[in-house]
Amino acid sequence: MRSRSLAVVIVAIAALAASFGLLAQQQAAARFAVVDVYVDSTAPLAAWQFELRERHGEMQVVGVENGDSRAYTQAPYYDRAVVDRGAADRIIVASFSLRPAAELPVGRARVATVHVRLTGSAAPDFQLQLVAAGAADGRPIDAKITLDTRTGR
Amino acid sequence: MHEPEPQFEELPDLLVARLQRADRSQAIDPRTDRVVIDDARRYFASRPRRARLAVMRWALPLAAAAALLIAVLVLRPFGLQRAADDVDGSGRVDILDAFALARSQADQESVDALAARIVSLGAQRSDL
Repeated sequence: MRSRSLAVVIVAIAALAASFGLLAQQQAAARFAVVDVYVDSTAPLAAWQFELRERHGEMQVVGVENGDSRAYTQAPYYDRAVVDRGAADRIIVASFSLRPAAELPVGRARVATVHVRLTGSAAPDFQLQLVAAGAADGRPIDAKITLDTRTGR
Repeated sequence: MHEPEPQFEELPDLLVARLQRADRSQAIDPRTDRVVIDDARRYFASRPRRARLAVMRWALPLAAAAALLIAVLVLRPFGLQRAADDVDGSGRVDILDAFALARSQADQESVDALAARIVSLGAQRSDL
């Protein structure tokens, strides 16, 4: 009887230790990163939209902030509700400016910064797609989109 | 005593005879009348139930059609909303449509609502 109780206690302690170990491992794996998104256009960039995701789905978007250009004074559009819920494993970000063409960014410009929480142990595999880019007159223009990653907080 | 009309006195006998032959009306026995009326009542007594059945037969398809119509109007599953959001007529809905709407001096609320639909994670899936 006593040995049976002892066995139960040992198993319980082992399970507890295993769960703590797993939790610690998960906490160690989770880290934050900053993704700077750039659009490179030969024409003045009046509107842009991109989608960012991580191939393995091991990303949670925690925030989005504006880029460098003074032509874009407003915060970009994105699904704040889903981000605030902590349920954004991808993000669509977009913005436009009604400023005249002379004031719009030309060339490589940082349009947004996305803050993400990464949960996997492997290096993230970001997938970035430029959905739309437009000139001041509203017509679509060709542009390239790239990203740089930095270690987050 | 009722005096015959003068014009009847002038009708030819042959015509009068033909008219009399054509008049085939006969007196109906009241019992026959009752039998016919009872039969008719029995027959029509069953009609309302059949009519109700006919209504029931149509009720389900009509309800289904009404539900479908409401679903189409409310959920707009065939891209009616997206077609309305395609402001620049490009065939796709993206930020350029919100941009076009803003350039057309639309109110900020409408522009923000359209932009919110464009970036909504629940509304669209990309092909990345």
